Amino acid sequence: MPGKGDLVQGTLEMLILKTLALQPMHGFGISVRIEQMSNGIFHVIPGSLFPALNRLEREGRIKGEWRPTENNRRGRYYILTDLGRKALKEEMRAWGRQVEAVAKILEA
Amino acid sequence: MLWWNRLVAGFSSLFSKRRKREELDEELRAYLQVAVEERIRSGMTEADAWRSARVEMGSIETVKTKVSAIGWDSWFESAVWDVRYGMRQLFRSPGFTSVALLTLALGIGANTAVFTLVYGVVLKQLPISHPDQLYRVGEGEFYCCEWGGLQGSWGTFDYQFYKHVRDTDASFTQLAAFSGSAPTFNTRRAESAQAAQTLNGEYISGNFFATLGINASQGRLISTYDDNENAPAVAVMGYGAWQNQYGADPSIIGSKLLINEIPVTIVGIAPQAFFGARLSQNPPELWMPLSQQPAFEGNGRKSLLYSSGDAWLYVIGRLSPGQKPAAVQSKLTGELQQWLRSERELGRDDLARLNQQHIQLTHVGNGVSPFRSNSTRGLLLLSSAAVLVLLIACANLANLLLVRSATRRQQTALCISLGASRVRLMRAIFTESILLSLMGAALGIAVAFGVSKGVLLIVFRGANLVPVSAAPSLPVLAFTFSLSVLTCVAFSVVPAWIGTQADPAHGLQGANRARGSRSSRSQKVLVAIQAAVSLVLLAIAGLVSESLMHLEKADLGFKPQGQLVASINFKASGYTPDRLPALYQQIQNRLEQVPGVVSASLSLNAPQKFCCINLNISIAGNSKKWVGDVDTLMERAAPHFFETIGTPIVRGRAFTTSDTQSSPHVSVIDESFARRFFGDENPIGKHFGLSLEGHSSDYEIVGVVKDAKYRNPANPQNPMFFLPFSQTTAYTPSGYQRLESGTLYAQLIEVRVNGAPAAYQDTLRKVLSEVDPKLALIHVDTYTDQVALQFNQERLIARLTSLFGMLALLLASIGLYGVTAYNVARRTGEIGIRMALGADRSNVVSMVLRSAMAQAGLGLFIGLPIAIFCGRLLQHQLYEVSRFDPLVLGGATLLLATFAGIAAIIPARRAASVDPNQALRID
Repeated sequence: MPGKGDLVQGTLEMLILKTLALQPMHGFGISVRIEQMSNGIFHVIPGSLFPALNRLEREGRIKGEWRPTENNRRGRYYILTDLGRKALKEEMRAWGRQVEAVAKILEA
Repeated sequence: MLWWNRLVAGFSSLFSKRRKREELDEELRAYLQVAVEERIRSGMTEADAWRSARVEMGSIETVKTKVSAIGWDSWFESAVWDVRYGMRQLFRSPGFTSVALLTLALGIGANTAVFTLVYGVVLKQLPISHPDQLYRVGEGEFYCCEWGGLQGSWGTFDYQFYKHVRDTDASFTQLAAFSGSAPTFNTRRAESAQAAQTLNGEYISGNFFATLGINASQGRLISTYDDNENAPAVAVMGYGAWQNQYGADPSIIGSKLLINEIPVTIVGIAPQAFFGARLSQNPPELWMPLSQQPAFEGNGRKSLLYSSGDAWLYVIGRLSPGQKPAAVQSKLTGELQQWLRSERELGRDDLARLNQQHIQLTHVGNGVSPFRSNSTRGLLLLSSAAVLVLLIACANLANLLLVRSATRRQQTALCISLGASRVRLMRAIFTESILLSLMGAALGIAVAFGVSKGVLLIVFRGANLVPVSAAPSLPVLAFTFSLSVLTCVAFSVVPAWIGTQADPAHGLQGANRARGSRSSRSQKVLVAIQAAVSLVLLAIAGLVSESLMHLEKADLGFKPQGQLVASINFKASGYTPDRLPALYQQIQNRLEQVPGVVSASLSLNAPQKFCCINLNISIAGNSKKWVGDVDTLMERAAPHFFETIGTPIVRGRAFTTSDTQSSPHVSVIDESFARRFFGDENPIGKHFGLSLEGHSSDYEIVGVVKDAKYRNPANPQNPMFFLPFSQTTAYTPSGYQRLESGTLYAQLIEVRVNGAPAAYQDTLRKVLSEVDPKLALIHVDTYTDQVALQFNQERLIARLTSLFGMLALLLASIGLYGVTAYNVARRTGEIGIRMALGADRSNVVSMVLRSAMAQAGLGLFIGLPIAIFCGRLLQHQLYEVSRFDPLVLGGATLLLATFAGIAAIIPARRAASVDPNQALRID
């Protein structure tokens, strides 16, 4: 069972896509944003974040780009592609259905 | 589309690996930097911030490894790494690599060579369309029955039965026939005075080429319109003959050639790779319609074509769609029995055997081949031997790898402690093995090409066309490739498993400590198996060689030395039987006048060349039934025959010039004939004849000669009688009549000379062309060469099995040496201690020898019963070799023991020369 801080298998990629849906971000930004949005429950370490980013990029759902950061250094920013936007919608719908189903079972 | 993105991403990351890694590196560093700044901002000291961020990130390298393990390209990349690593390892230990490659090349090469032969002879389909649909009506070889008689399982048929089945049975879409024998024809251009060429020919039904579904390479092929009594005479020439004997002259197509002095139009040339529907050492090069057969035989309505009961045709066809071979087979059997009952006048004995007459449908997509059935057993033996050699090679390689992985234990332990997974390490070993295997296979193909070329040269020595090619074809290459992969798996699985079992803690400690590990036990088992297998192979090689030796030393009952033998076709030169006696006399006289010629003669057959006609006889005054059941051999000879070939006359006399048609008809018999039919009685003056009503006293026996081996001495030979060319008997049945007139044509000329016979070849040709320029010799050979030719196959098999046996022994010895040497090296410390404690050199030597000999002994123990069993299996194929031959088995054992001794003594001596002081200092 997933305890505090553990992500359900496969949801990390969905969360990354959701995070990037607001604006392009670099790796650290993504990790901080996920932690903030989950009120500190999810903590994404680089060992999981970067493989996930690489996978998404290979699948064409996000695109990496070097841009100057706030403090004028070079950072790699990830942008959601059209394909990624579609995939996010798809996954959110599927997730919603799953949660609903699980909730029904638990309430019964 | 997802897979497409992944594919593209994989390629782009393959080709920009370096940049991608640098980018990732920069990204990770930036991440760390920001993470630290963030922590400092939230109140940590700089040192704490760095530590905390680092802990969270883990090693940058680990993250990079994780990222780069994503996607298919990472697998590919690591495979490339493995290959590069494997190559480096192989180059680093050239000794190991060259021994392994040599072993593999020999093992795989032997198998590829044998497979090339098996493929060419057994598996390769005819170059025709849909060879898989082609069936032969009947089975077996063309050996008897041309003059009638029941065959049991039928193989050849008369024209009438063929026509009956073709026209009434709808089981076949096409049903074709072709003559079983391949007579030679003399061909020459009508207008030129050039000497005649001899070509092997075949009579075929008009639909023969259509049935096979092949097209002419030039002109056209024979069709059903040509196979008609009233059609003009036509022939199709083989591609090889057209190329070699007519210089690929296109004007030959459509022009007339004189074939046996009969003008025939050549309408086309057969396809290049087509050697007829039979795989034969002397394939046909001239095809003519069946309807022309009577013209060449010259017997009008009494010719083979019109006769009933003379089985001379092979029948092949394509089954109609939906027909099951088994059903067609039983239907044909019924038709055959019905046909025999209604068309033949069968005697009581034949009627009793009628329901045993049957037809077997055989699949002949790879050609009708007497050569194949002769060779199958030999090929089987060779294949088994080759597989055993490969097995030993695998055992050797497995041993080498085990030794290597043992020496690399430290390195393996280091890899594992640094986090390498066992699967990854095993994969590296597999990669290295497959590299070795493939390189070995490439070398093996080269070895095989050489070997099979040599083998084919020997098998088809004296043949004018070799229908089997030594060049590696696609199926052969595929075979070799799969074999090398299989080999790799066979020799690398155990070493990979055992070799990667290293316990890091153990491995990193003193690596040279002697431990009775699993690897050394499996090594010893492997060596024992090798010894067993090589013993079996040596024993088989010994038996086969012994059989050959007996064959070569067998008393053939004649003297091939100092003799020439030439084959000739008088019929093809246009002679009729009435002109033959004078011609023979003239040739014989002219030859015997040549200085240096001792005697000359002519005959139908001769020992070890063209054997024989099988006939049944009857004896005047002996009506016992068994007499007619004994198969006897008939031969015709001119005067001086026995003195020329060197068969002694035991009793009475040989033929002379005074035996003429008008004088009493005489016969000479051999000793087995006398013994079989007359026991202890004196056969001289007795009468006998063919087994036919009213013919039992046709011949008077005037002489008895010593038995001579006309056939391969390995086969039993029937009693034999000889008739002179100058006397002929008239028969009523057309088959007997045809036999009688056919055997008047001598096929051989024998000349006994003083000095080297080879020098007389040209003289022989010159004398013949002086007698008649139209006479062309087909083939001249010294008789010793001719005899040697007979044992070609036996010799080849004996030589190859011996070669394989020695190869196996060598490999097994190398294996034993390797394991012993390795164990000595491993136990250097132990030996040092033993010596320090008082063991002397001989103790050490005997300790090492004992262990090596125990392995060889175990091999003997396993191998001897198998060798004896194999000897029993082989016995019926061998000539005068007993089922249990202590000499051969003892020899093989001794050989193995000797080699094992040599292989063990070298490391044993090295062990004895260990200096205890140094040995103890190693660890």
